[in-house]
Amino acid sequence: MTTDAPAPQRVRRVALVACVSSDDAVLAQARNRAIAGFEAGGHEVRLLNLIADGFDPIVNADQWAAHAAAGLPDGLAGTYAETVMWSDTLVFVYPTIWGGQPALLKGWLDRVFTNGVAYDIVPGASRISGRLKQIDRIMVITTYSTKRWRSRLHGEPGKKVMKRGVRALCGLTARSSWLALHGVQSGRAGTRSFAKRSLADRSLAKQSDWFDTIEQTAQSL
Amino acid sequence: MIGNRAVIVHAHPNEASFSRELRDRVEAGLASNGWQTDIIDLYARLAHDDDVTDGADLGLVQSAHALVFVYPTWWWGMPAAMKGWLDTTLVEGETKLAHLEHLVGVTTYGSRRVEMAILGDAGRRTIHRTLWLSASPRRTRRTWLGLHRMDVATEADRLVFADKVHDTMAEL
Repeated sequence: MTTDAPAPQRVRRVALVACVSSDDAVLAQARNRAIAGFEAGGHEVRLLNLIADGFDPIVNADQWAAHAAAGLPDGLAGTYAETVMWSDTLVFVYPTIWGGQPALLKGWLDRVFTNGVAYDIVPGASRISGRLKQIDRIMVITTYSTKRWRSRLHGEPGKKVMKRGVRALCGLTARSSWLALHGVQSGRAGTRSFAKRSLADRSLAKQSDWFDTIEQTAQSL
Repeated sequence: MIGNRAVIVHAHPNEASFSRELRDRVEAGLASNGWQTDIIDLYARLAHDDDVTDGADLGLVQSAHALVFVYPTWWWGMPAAMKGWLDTTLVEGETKLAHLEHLVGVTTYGSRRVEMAILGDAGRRTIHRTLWLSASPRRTRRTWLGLHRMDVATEADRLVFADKVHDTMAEL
Protein backbone atom coordinates (compact mmCIF):
# COMPACT_ATOMS: atom_id res chain seq x y z
CA MET A 1 0.00 0.00 0.00
CA THR A 2 1.35 3.40 -0.93
CA THR A 3 0.69 6.62 0.82
CA ASP A 4 0.82 10.12 -0.62
CA ALA A 5 1.07 11.91 2.69
CA PRO A 6 4.59 13.09 3.45
CA ALA A 7 6.24 11.76 6.58
CA PRO A 8 5.54 14.03 9.53
CA GLN A 9 8.49 16.36 9.84
CA ARG A 10 9.80 18.12 12.86
CA VAL A 11 9.53 21.90 12.75
CA ARG A 12 13.00 23.32 13.15
CA ARG A 13 13.98 26.57 14.79
CA VAL A 14 16.61 27.98 12.46
CA ALA A 15 19.08 30.74 13.31
CA LEU A 16 20.48 31.84 9.94
CA VAL A 17 23.68 33.84 10.37
CA ALA A 18 24.31 35.73 7.14
CA CYS A 19 27.47 37.57 6.26
CA VAL A 20 26.53 38.65 2.76
CA SER A 21 27.53 42.00 1.27
CA SER A 22 25.10 43.81 -1.00
CA ASP A 23 27.31 43.34 -4.08
CA ASP A 24 27.58 39.56 -3.69
CA ALA A 25 24.76 38.33 -5.91
CA VAL A 26 25.74 34.67 -5.78
CA LEU A 27 25.76 34.45 -2.01
CA ALA A 28 22.62 36.60 -1.70
CA GLN A 29 20.79 34.15 -3.93
CA ALA A 30 22.14 31.22 -1.94
CA ARG A 31 20.83 32.81 1.27
CA ASN A 32 17.42 33.48 -0.31
CA ARG A 33 17.14 29.92 -1.60
CA ALA A 34 17.98 28.59 1.84
CA ILE A 35 15.26 30.74 3.41
CA ALA A 36 12.80 29.65 0.74
CA GLY A 37 13.65 26.02 1.46
CA PHE A 38 13.19 26.37 5.19
CA GLU A 39 9.85 28.10 4.71
CA ALA A 40 8.67 25.46 2.25
CA GLY A 41 9.56 22.82 4.81
CA GLY A 42 7.48 24.62 7.44
CA HIS A 43 10.52 25.57 9.55
CA GLU A 44 10.77 28.76 11.53
CA VAL A 45 13.67 31.00 10.45
CA ARG A 46 15.25 33.94 12.21
CA LEU A 47 17.73 35.88 10.11
CA LEU A 48 20.81 37.37 11.73
CA ASN A 49 21.92 39.80 9.06
CA LEU A 50 25.34 40.89 10.31
CA ILE A 51 26.10 43.49 7.65
CA ALA A 52 22.67 45.11 7.53
CA ASP A 53 22.48 45.13 11.34
CA GLY A 54 25.82 46.93 11.52
CA PHE A 55 27.28 44.33 13.88
CA ASP A 56 30.63 45.30 15.42
CA PRO A 57 32.93 42.24 15.39
CA ILE A 58 35.66 43.75 17.55
CA VAL A 59 35.96 42.61 21.17
CA ASN A 60 36.83 45.78 23.10
CA ALA A 61 38.84 46.09 26.30
CA ASP A 62 35.77 46.13 28.58
CA GLN A 63 34.23 43.10 26.91
CA TRP A 64 37.55 41.30 27.10
CA ALA A 65 37.88 42.08 30.82
CA ALA A 66 34.38 40.69 31.42
CA HIS A 67 34.78 37.55 29.30
CA ALA A 68 35.02 35.15 32.23
CA ALA A 69 31.79 36.41 33.81
CA ALA A 70 28.70 34.42 32.87
CA GLY A 71 25.76 36.13 31.22
CA LEU A 72 24.35 37.54 28.04
CA PRO A 73 26.53 40.01 26.17
CA ASP A 74 25.24 43.57 25.84
CA GLY A 75 23.33 45.04 22.92
CA LEU A 76 23.05 43.39 19.54
CA ALA A 77 25.41 40.56 20.53
CA GLY A 78 22.98 39.73 23.35
CA THR A 79 20.02 39.65 20.96
CA TYR A 80 22.01 37.34 18.70
CA ALA A 81 22.91 35.15 21.68
CA GLU A 82 19.23 34.77 22.60
CA THR A 83 18.44 33.69 19.05
CA VAL A 84 21.22 31.10 19.17
CA MET A 85 19.88 29.75 22.47
CA TRP A 86 16.38 29.58 20.99
CA SER A 87 17.49 27.70 17.88
CA ASP A 88 18.04 24.01 17.24
CA THR A 89 19.60 24.58 13.82
CA LEU A 90 22.51 26.90 13.04
CA VAL A 91 23.03 28.04 9.46
CA PHE A 92 25.98 30.12 8.31
CA VAL A 93 26.19 31.92 4.97
CA TYR A 94 29.49 33.64 4.17
CA PRO A 95 32.27 34.03 1.62
CA THR A 96 35.43 32.10 2.56
CA ILE A 97 38.40 34.47 2.75
CA TRP A 98 41.93 33.22 3.48
CA GLY A 99 40.48 29.76 3.99
CA GLY A 100 38.06 30.80 6.69
CA GLN A 101 35.30 32.98 8.03
CA PRO A 102 35.45 36.69 7.22
CA ALA A 103 36.39 38.92 10.15
CA LEU A 104 32.76 39.90 10.70
CA LEU A 105 31.77 36.28 11.31
CA LYS A 106 34.88 35.47 13.37
CA GLY A 107 33.99 38.44 15.56
CA TRP A 108 30.42 37.17 15.79
CA LEU A 109 31.78 33.99 17.37
CA ASP A 110 34.08 36.01 19.64
CA ARG A 111 31.30 38.28 20.89
CA VAL A 112 28.23 36.02 20.89
CA PHE A 113 29.69 32.70 22.07
CA THR A 114 30.21 33.87 25.63
CA ASN A 115 30.27 32.12 28.97
CA GLY A 116 26.71 31.13 29.83
CA VAL A 117 25.65 31.24 26.19
CA ALA A 118 27.85 28.83 24.26
CA TYR A 119 29.76 27.23 27.12
CA ASP A 120 30.10 26.75 30.85
CA ILE A 121 33.35 26.63 32.76
CA VAL A 122 33.68 23.22 34.40
CA PRO A 123 34.40 23.92 38.08
CA GLY A 124 37.91 22.99 39.13
CA ALA A 125 38.84 21.46 35.81
CA SER A 126 40.00 24.50 33.82
CA ARG A 127 38.07 23.50 30.78
CA ILE A 128 34.80 24.40 29.19
CA SER A 129 31.78 22.32 28.28
CA GLY A 130 29.52 23.17 25.37
CA ARG A 131 26.17 24.70 26.17
CA LEU A 132 24.50 24.53 22.77
CA LYS A 133 23.22 21.01 23.36
CA GLN A 134 19.81 21.73 21.83
CA ILE A 135 21.46 22.39 18.45
CA ASP A 136 21.66 19.16 16.50
CA ARG A 137 22.19 20.49 13.01
CA ILE A 138 24.70 22.88 11.47
CA MET A 139 24.55 23.96 7.86
CA VAL A 140 27.27 25.97 6.17
CA ILE A 141 26.77 27.71 2.84
CA THR A 142 29.97 29.28 1.58
CA THR A 143 31.77 30.37 -1.58
CA TYR A 144 35.47 30.03 -2.31
CA SER A 145 37.50 31.95 -4.88
CA THR A 146 39.88 28.98 -4.95
CA LYS A 147 39.38 25.61 -6.55
CA ARG A 148 38.43 22.69 -4.31
CA TRP A 149 41.82 20.95 -4.53
CA ARG A 150 43.64 24.13 -3.56
CA SER A 151 41.36 24.76 -0.57
CA ARG A 152 42.07 21.24 0.64
CA LEU A 153 45.79 21.71 0.20
CA HIS A 154 45.55 24.96 2.13
CA GLY A 155 44.14 23.15 5.13
CA GLU A 156 40.53 24.44 5.25
CA PRO A 157 40.84 26.36 8.55
CA GLY A 158 37.27 27.64 8.24
CA LYS A 159 35.88 24.15 7.80
CA LYS A 160 37.73 23.02 10.93
CA VAL A 161 36.17 25.91 12.88
CA MET A 162 32.66 24.87 11.88
CA LYS A 163 32.76 21.08 11.66
CA ARG A 164 35.01 20.48 14.63
CA GLY A 165 34.94 23.62 16.79
CA VAL A 166 31.36 24.87 16.70
CA ARG A 167 30.01 21.33 16.42
CA ALA A 168 31.85 20.28 19.58
CA LEU A 169 29.81 22.89 21.52
CA CYS A 170 26.54 21.44 20.21
CA GLY A 171 24.74 18.20 20.96
CA LEU A 172 26.69 14.95 20.70
CA THR A 173 24.60 13.81 17.76
CA ALA A 174 24.84 17.12 15.91
CA ARG A 175 25.35 16.66 12.20
CA SER A 176 26.60 19.19 9.73
CA SER A 177 25.94 19.91 6.06
CA TRP A 178 28.76 21.56 4.13
CA LEU A 179 27.49 23.26 0.97
CA ALA A 180 30.40 24.97 -0.72
CA LEU A 181 30.80 26.45 -4.17
CA HIS A 182 34.38 26.69 -5.38
CA GLY A 183 36.05 28.82 -8.02
CA VAL A 184 33.60 31.70 -7.69
CA GLN A 185 34.97 34.68 -9.58
CA SER A 186 32.75 37.66 -9.15
CA GLY A 187 32.60 40.21 -11.95
CA ARG A 188 34.07 38.04 -14.71
CA ALA A 189 31.01 37.63 -16.89
CA GLY A 190 32.51 38.97 -20.12
CA THR A 191 34.18 35.96 -21.63
CA ARG A 192 35.72 35.95 -25.08
CA SER A 193 36.93 32.64 -26.43
CA PHE A 194 34.75 29.61 -27.03
CA ALA A 195 36.74 27.61 -24.50
CA LYS A 196 36.25 30.25 -21.85
CA ARG A 197 32.57 30.56 -22.70
CA SER A 198 31.98 26.86 -22.35
CA LEU A 199 33.84 26.89 -19.03
CA ALA A 200 31.63 29.76 -17.89
CA ASP A 201 28.53 27.81 -18.93
CA ARG A 202 29.73 24.86 -16.92
CA SER A 203 30.33 26.96 -13.85
CA LEU A 204 26.88 28.54 -14.24
CA ALA A 205 25.33 25.09 -14.36
CA LYS A 206 27.33 24.12 -11.29
CA GLN A 207 26.10 27.25 -9.54
CA SER A 208 22.50 26.53 -10.42
CA ASP A 209 22.85 22.97 -9.08
CA TRP A 210 24.32 24.38 -5.91
CA PHE A 211 21.33 26.72 -5.38
CA ASP A 212 18.96 23.76 -5.90
CA THR A 213 20.88 21.62 -3.41
CA ILE A 214 20.73 24.40 -0.83
CA GLU A 215 16.97 24.77 -1.16
CA GLN A 216 16.37 21.01 -1.08
CA THR A 217 18.63 20.51 1.91
CA ALA A 218 16.96 23.35 3.79
CA GLN A 219 13.48 22.06 3.01
CA SER A 220 14.15 18.47 4.04
CA LEU A 221 16.22 19.26 7.10
CA MET B 1 70.71 39.45 10.05
CA ILE B 2 71.91 43.04 10.00
CA GLY B 3 69.58 45.23 7.97
CA ASN B 4 66.80 42.67 7.76
CA ARG B 5 63.28 43.91 8.27
CA ALA B 6 60.58 42.29 10.37
CA VAL B 7 56.92 43.20 10.66
CA ILE B 8 55.07 42.28 13.87
CA VAL B 9 51.27 42.21 13.64
CA HIS B 10 49.60 42.28 17.04
CA ALA B 11 45.97 42.22 18.21
CA HIS B 12 44.94 42.29 21.86
CA PRO B 13 42.37 44.63 23.46
CA ASN B 14 44.26 45.02 26.75
CA GLU B 15 47.49 47.05 26.71
CA ALA B 16 48.71 45.32 29.87
CA SER B 17 48.03 41.78 28.64
CA PHE B 18 50.47 38.88 28.53
CA SER B 19 50.05 39.00 24.76
CA ARG B 20 51.47 42.54 24.82
CA GLU B 21 54.41 41.24 26.84
CA LEU B 22 54.99 38.55 24.24
CA ARG B 23 54.96 41.15 21.50
CA ASP B 24 57.58 43.17 23.41
CA ARG B 25 59.72 40.06 23.81
CA VAL B 26 59.44 39.31 20.09
CA GLU B 27 60.55 42.85 19.32
CA ALA B 28 63.43 42.75 21.79
CA GLY B 29 64.60 39.35 20.59
CA LEU B 30 64.64 40.43 16.97
CA ALA B 31 66.32 43.75 17.78
CA SER B 32 69.05 41.99 19.74
CA ASN B 33 70.05 40.25 16.56
CA GLY B 34 70.04 43.41 14.44
CA TRP B 35 66.56 43.14 12.95
CA GLN B 36 64.77 46.34 12.12
CA THR B 37 61.17 45.98 13.31
CA ASP B 38 57.87 47.61 12.43
CA ILE B 39 54.82 47.00 14.59
CA ILE B 40 51.27 46.95 13.35
CA ASP B 41 49.25 47.31 16.56
CA LEU B 42 45.68 46.73 15.43
CA TYR B 43 43.91 47.66 18.66
CA ALA B 44 45.94 50.87 19.03
CA ARG B 45 44.75 51.80 15.56
CA LEU B 46 41.14 51.10 16.49
CA ALA B 47 41.47 53.23 19.62
CA HIS B 48 42.92 56.18 17.77
CA ASP B 49 40.79 55.81 14.69
CA ASP B 50 43.98 55.74 12.67
CA ASP B 51 43.48 55.99 8.98
CA VAL B 52 46.17 53.92 7.38
CA THR B 53 46.89 54.81 3.81
CA ASP B 54 45.75 52.10 1.44
CA GLY B 55 48.66 49.94 0.51
CA ALA B 56 50.99 51.19 3.26
CA ASP B 57 50.73 47.94 5.23
CA LEU B 58 50.98 45.90 2.07
CA GLY B 59 54.20 47.68 1.12
CA LEU B 60 55.60 47.08 4.60
CA VAL B 61 54.74 43.39 4.56
CA GLN B 62 55.95 42.86 1.01
CA SER B 63 59.37 44.26 1.84
CA ALA B 64 59.65 42.24 5.07
CA HIS B 65 62.03 39.32 5.60
CA ALA B 66 60.08 38.16 8.64
CA LEU B 67 56.38 38.39 9.42
CA VAL B 68 55.33 37.68 13.01
CA PHE B 69 51.72 37.34 14.18
CA VAL B 70 51.14 37.77 17.91
CA TYR B 71 47.59 37.15 19.15
CA PRO B 72 45.46 35.34 21.72
CA THR B 73 43.63 32.34 20.25
CA TRP B 74 39.89 32.88 20.65
CA TRP B 75 37.53 30.18 19.39
CA TRP B 76 40.26 28.30 17.55
CA GLY B 77 41.64 31.30 15.69
CA MET B 78 42.81 34.86 15.56
CA PRO B 79 40.68 37.76 16.85
CA ALA B 80 38.42 39.43 14.29
CA ALA B 81 40.66 42.51 14.33
CA MET B 82 43.54 40.44 12.96
CA LYS B 83 41.44 38.39 10.55
CA GLY B 84 40.05 41.65 9.20
CA TRP B 85 43.54 43.02 8.69
CA LEU B 86 44.55 39.88 6.81
CA ASP B 87 41.34 39.95 4.72
CA THR B 88 41.78 43.54 3.61
CA THR B 89 45.57 43.84 3.35
CA LEU B 90 46.48 40.67 1.46
CA VAL B 91 44.59 38.93 -1.33
CA GLU B 92 44.66 35.13 -1.41
CA GLY B 93 46.16 33.84 -4.63
CA GLU B 94 47.38 37.28 -5.69
CA THR B 95 49.61 38.83 -3.02
CA LYS B 96 53.17 37.49 -3.05
CA LEU B 97 55.63 38.14 -0.25
CA ALA B 98 58.77 37.75 -2.31
CA HIS B 99 61.33 38.60 0.40
CA LEU B 100 59.80 36.57 3.21
CA GLU B 101 62.22 34.19 4.94
CA HIS B 102 60.38 33.62 8.21
CA LEU B 103 56.67 33.26 8.96
CA VAL B 104 56.10 33.17 12.71
CA GLY B 105 53.09 32.81 15.00
CA VAL B 106 53.13 33.50 18.75
CA THR B 107 49.87 32.75 20.54
CA THR B 108 48.20 31.68 23.76
CA TYR B 109 45.50 29.01 24.02
CA GLY B 110 42.93 28.25 26.67
CA SER B 111 42.85 24.60 25.69
CA ARG B 112 45.33 21.79 25.94
CA ARG B 113 47.68 21.00 23.09
CA VAL B 114 45.91 17.73 22.25
CA GLU B 115 42.47 19.40 22.19
CA MET B 116 43.69 22.13 19.89
CA ALA B 117 45.25 19.51 17.61
CA ILE B 118 41.95 17.63 17.41
CA LEU B 119 39.98 20.80 16.76
CA GLY B 120 42.34 21.71 13.93
CA ASP B 121 43.96 24.93 15.23
CA ALA B 122 42.39 27.12 12.57
CA GLY B 123 44.54 30.12 13.47
CA ARG B 124 47.78 28.25 12.92
CA ARG B 125 46.39 26.65 9.78
CA THR B 126 45.48 30.06 8.37
CA ILE B 127 49.00 31.43 8.85
CA HIS B 128 51.16 28.35 8.44
CA ARG B 129 49.31 26.70 5.63
CA THR B 130 46.91 28.97 3.77
CA LEU B 131 49.05 32.11 3.90
CA TRP B 132 52.33 30.20 3.58
CA LEU B 133 51.28 28.20 0.53
CA SER B 134 49.53 31.11 -1.11
CA ALA B 135 51.89 34.02 -0.56
CA SER B 136 55.38 33.10 0.53
CA PRO B 137 58.27 31.93 -1.58
CA ARG B 138 59.61 28.41 -1.32
CA ARG B 139 62.41 29.26 1.07
CA THR B 140 60.16 30.71 3.80
CA ARG B 141 60.63 28.90 7.11
CA ARG B 142 57.82 28.55 9.62
CA THR B 143 58.03 28.89 13.39
CA TRP B 144 55.13 28.43 15.82
CA LEU B 145 55.21 29.23 19.52
CA GLY B 146 52.10 28.52 21.59
CA LEU B 147 51.41 28.59 25.31
CA HIS B 148 48.60 26.15 26.11
CA ARG B 149 46.21 26.18 29.07
CA MET B 150 46.75 29.89 29.47
CA ASP B 151 44.03 30.16 32.13
CA VAL B 152 45.86 27.96 34.60
CA ALA B 153 49.42 28.89 33.60
CA THR B 154 51.48 30.00 36.57
CA GLU B 155 53.76 33.04 36.61
CA ALA B 156 56.66 30.63 36.14
CA ASP B 157 55.02 28.98 33.10
CA ARG B 158 54.55 32.38 31.51
CA LEU B 159 58.10 33.42 32.23
CA VAL B 160 59.51 30.26 30.68
CA PHE B 161 57.36 30.75 27.60
CA ALA B 162 58.21 34.45 27.24
CA ASP B 163 61.94 33.61 27.50
CA LYS B 164 61.51 30.93 24.86
CA VAL B 165 59.84 33.47 22.59
CA HIS B 166 62.67 35.94 23.11
CA ASP B 167 65.39 33.37 22.51
CA THR B 168 63.73 31.94 19.43
CA MET B 169 63.37 35.41 17.94
CA ALA B 170 66.98 36.26 18.82
CA GLU B 171 68.14 33.23 16.86
CA LEU B 172 65.80 33.61 13.91
